[in-house]
Amino acid sequence: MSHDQIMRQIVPYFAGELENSTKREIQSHIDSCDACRMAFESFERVWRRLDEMPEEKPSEKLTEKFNAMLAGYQHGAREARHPGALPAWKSLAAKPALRLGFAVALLVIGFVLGVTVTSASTHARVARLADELDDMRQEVMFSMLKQPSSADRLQAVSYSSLVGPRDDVREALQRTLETDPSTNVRLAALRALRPFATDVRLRRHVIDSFSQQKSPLVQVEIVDFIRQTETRPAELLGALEQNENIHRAVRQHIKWTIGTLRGDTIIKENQNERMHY
Amino acid sequence: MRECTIKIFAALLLFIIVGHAENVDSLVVAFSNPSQSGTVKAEMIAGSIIVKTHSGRDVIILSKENANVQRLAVPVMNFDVPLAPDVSDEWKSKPDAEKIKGLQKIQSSRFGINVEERDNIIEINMPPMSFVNPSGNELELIVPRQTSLHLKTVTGGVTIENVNGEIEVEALGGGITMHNVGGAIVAHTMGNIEATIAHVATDKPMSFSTFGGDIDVALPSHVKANLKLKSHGDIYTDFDTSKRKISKSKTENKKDDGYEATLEQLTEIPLNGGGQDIEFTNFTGNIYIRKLTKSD
Repeated sequence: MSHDQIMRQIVPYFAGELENSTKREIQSHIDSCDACRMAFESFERVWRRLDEMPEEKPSEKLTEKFNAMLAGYQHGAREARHPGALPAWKSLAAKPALRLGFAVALLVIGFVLGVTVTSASTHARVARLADELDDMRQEVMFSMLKQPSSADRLQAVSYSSLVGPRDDVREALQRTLETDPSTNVRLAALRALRPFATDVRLRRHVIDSFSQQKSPLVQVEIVDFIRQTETRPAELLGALEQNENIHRAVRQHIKWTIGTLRGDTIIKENQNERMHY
Repeated sequence: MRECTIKIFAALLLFIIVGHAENVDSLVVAFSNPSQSGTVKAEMIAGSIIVKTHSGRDVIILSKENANVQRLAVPVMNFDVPLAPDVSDEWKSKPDAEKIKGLQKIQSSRFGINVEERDNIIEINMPPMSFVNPSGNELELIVPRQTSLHLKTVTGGVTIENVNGEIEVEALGGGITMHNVGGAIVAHTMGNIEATIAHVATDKPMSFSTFGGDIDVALPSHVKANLKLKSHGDIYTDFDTSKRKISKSKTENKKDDGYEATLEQLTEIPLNGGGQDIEFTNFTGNIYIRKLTKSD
């Protein structure tokens, strides 16, 4: 089945109108096709919300009126000697007054249902669109991170801030920090990882990548990253300082940073300093 | 016919070059699709790279070695204009006379540049033997103005003039100098970066980084960009910085071990309403961002 055919089956699929064989076919397709699976999943969410929605009940008065009308009709019908009474709706259609009453009732029910369903599905649709946009950006980001041009990979890294703090984005940035051939791209990746710094695993990854970094500039940035994100940076920096292979200037920077943390150095922090990465 | 013209042109060029400077060897390489802008990639271990432009559509590769003539052995691939004269016995490595006394030479090592053209990308590979001559190698590339560059050298510097395209440079041992360039630039060095950028690509970010040097970049005054600056040194600019996001946090060193640094955060400055990111990162040097003036 093509994607289009699959998409056309999406409503019958959830409505349970499909043959088992067709269902299996769709199931196996969406298992292997990310795009269709995502479409199905987001549709499923909408579908579930529809199910969860309380059924609209006509107000008591309406029911009373309707019952009264029905009773009146039944009475009249009996009087008119129609023993094998017509189905209720047909008889309704035959009586103009009742018809009007029922039409009003339907209109009210339809309106109430309509408003509720529309707002719920609009919500779901907006959420789905936002999700899809994120997915799309993420796809773009991942494919651009594989480009041979550093400018493209830099762009991919800056895209990451638009995708949002997802795990797979964090992993992609981590990989970039560890393996990208361009120093500039690695620097940008480290900056883009700042919003993830609340995650201790991420911070460990960054620290672990320190010794693998070929560029002392990236190492200096990692030192600054540790100082700004760790609760006890001095200990971690002390361990890095033991690394024998680091550039003299990097070691000096670590020592100096530890000094500032111990309070040996006077730091005049700007009062309204806020980080916006 | 076209091939013939190229050959004549190249031969003439070779004549001119060889005739005037004996220590230069040259190659002319054509892009497979000259109507589209191509890419030149060059990687060197030892030596510097200079890139200039010409109005032609080919790429001229000149290899110089101090005062000594260095013949090129050129294994040619996808490239039908072999121009460099054959490796002659004129050039040989000059071994210590004492060392080779009484010995017979049975194999000769040669310097050679390997040039490959594929999908409009010209790739220039210097041989590992260019290690031998750490100071003297100089690769000069004369390219069409619209060309993308991907250059890397470990011990030398890189100079680029008038090129417009995606420019990616790594010069670990020397500085990077760019004059009147345009496009999207990604540059990293351990030394200074000096650049006058006449045209900034609006669809791609730029990034400049150095560990031990200054960054001095002139941008068009009307450029729409978002500057991101991180330096442990000072930052100077004549652009409007009123929209700058983060201010400095300065640090003074109480101890007298002679080491001073500032705790510097990332500073963001949107220029003319903002645009693509242009990142500047250095450690020990200063950053200067200037408005491009006509005299540049």
